Amino acid sequence: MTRIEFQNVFKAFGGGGTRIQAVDGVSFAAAGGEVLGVLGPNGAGKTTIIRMLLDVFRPDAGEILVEGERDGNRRDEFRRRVAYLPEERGLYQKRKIKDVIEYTGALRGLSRAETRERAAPLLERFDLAAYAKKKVATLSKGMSQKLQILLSVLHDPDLLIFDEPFSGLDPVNVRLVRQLVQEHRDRGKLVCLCTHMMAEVQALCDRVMMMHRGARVLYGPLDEIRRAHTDYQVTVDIDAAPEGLPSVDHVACVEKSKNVYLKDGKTIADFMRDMSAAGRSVRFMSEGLRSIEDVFVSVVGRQDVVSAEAPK
Amino acid sequence: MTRIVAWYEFLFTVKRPAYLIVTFGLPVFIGLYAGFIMLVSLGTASYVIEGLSAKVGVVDDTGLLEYARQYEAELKKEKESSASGDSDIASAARQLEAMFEKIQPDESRTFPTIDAAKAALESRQIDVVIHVPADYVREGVIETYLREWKIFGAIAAPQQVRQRLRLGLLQRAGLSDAEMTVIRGGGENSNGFGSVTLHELGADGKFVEVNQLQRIMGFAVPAGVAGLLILALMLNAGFLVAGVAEEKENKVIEVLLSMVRVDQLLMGKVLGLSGAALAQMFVWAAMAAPIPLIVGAVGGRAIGFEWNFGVLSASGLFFMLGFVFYGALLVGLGSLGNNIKESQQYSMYIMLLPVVPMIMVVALVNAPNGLLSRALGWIPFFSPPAMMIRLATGEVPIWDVAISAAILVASTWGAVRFSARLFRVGALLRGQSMNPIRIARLFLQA
Repeated sequence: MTRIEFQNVFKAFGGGGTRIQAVDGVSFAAAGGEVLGVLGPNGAGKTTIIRMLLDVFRPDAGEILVEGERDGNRRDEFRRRVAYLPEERGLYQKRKIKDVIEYTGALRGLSRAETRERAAPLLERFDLAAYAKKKVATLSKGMSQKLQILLSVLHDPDLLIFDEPFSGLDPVNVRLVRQLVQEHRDRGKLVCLCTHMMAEVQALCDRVMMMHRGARVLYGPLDEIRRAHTDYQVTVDIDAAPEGLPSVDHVACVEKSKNVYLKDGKTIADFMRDMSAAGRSVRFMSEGLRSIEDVFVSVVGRQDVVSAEAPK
Repeated sequence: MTRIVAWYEFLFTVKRPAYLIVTFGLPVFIGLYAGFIMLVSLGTASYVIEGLSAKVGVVDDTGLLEYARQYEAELKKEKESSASGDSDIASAARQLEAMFEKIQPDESRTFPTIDAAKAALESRQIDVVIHVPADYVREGVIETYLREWKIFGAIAAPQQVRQRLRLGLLQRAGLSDAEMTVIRGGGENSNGFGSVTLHELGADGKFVEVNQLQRIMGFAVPAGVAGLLILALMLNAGFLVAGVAEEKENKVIEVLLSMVRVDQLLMGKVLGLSGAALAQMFVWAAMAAPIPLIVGAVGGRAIGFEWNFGVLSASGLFFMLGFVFYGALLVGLGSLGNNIKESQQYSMYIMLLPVVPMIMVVALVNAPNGLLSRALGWIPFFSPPAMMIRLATGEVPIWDVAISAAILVASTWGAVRFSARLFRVGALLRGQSMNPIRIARLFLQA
């Protein structure tokens, strides 16, 4: 059972006028058997968090705990249990696929026989078996992507860190990776998923941490976060447009229904009162959980507005 | 983990086409180049020899050439009887002598009159006529007749005749053999290299004879090995930098850093490449092995050179330490480049360092324990090649070697630490040009 914990971690780059606070007092924890979504716009500090977890960078301040042990991420043992799929894919283009697999296996502490044994079913599963003796450069982008995923799980890791694992994959392979993530989660592994594909976050993540400008802006179980940001959204089937009602902020059409977004502080009861006062009837209504994408846009957008309004 | 990285770096490097080309192709190229030069030389020589051996007709109005023939016949008989008792050095010296102008076989045809010789020239029986007039001794002039003048053609023939005339004069004067030998130059029974015998003051206060050839080889072979080591160092350092730059460009480096500690990765790379460089040395040594045999076969007997394994072992130690030292710095600085070209530019600053002792090779050889030599031997940036050259002289005290090695070991450790720190950020940095201030800042942030 893997457990990682960041405690008030800071990391800055540059100096003087070019100093950038990449991570600003971030804390979070995650344990085996769950998928943690690390979300945030570009430049939010997600990759720096990952690199600190992998001990590529050391934090300026704060603690990183692995299994409760301070700096446990610096141990060789920890490295052997980690799988990392970076956003910017990298492979030795001029080497044969089987050589790359063998090298990765050796670095992960596997013998040649073990590597071959573990690679064979994965190669079949990822439709790469026929390419094993070919050079990496002969693979298409999607195939290269699959090879990288294969390499990352070759040693049956306890902690999987996948940065945008779905980019460049067709729907069939997206499903394949999704299955892979779920399988590992179900086997008690911890999966950290960094992605901008909110549908996948919603489908896979148990917990999310949202970052913006180096700081943590949201953190918790996915459903709780969605619920916490849903009190002013209802899905209604009505005969007349609800725009203009005092409690309504704006309306978005979704197929035959309408998503009605209420103004801050307004409740469903306020909306119903307004509807009644306006003489409009509701055929169907449900309290809709906001999608994580909406939450993302809402939180990040709000942060940007606050930042823009702040005195300089 | 370092061992695994080193092993695979070694394997991947020795499979690189560029490595194979350098390892097997360079000696072949050098061999072909040397062969080409020799062929050109031989071709030129054969042209000259063609001139020398052109059918020469001689008209000697002085009668001196007959004296020369008499002397040569006597000398040949004498040499045949004494050749078996010569030392190998004297034998080699005589062979060298025979190759050049001193004892050219006389194949010229003698004509009684200049008109007869000219007629033979016109009818192509001979190619050149050398006329030695009766007043040659007084005027010093000989006349040459050709069908057609060619540049380089038949230049040597008059010279050859002139030498024989000198020989004839000496023979006619009735000098003793010993006097003739001294005037001709070169002692027939000399025991030194060429005609000079050297002695030096030995440890017991007595003068002992110096075998110059053995001494020269004693220095040249370890120094040559040192030169090859430096060549291997520079060539493989290029592979090292290219490898790091390639991994950075391919973006493999980030995945590697998630699997291996940065110092392990760095050391693994450097050690793997050191192994590849050593393998290259062994290949070169194996390819060069027949050369002494060939030289021995040509010379008739071995020269008497013995390998100094102490010096070679110490050179090997400095090579390995040097490779790790320079290699670590190269990886650290090379990791800052955005592509192979930039990485190679940064690495040039490091690659220039081992060249400095090569520039000062004369000072290092002539005064291996002088202030400059010792300074170069103790400063880690220069010490690996400097020590290899100094060691080749066989005059460096053991404590000096130990101090240099100790400084180099400590500096290598420091270089690995420094570069690991730089590599940690440099390997993941993209799109930034570097300058010393920025590098220092990166180093502090890592």
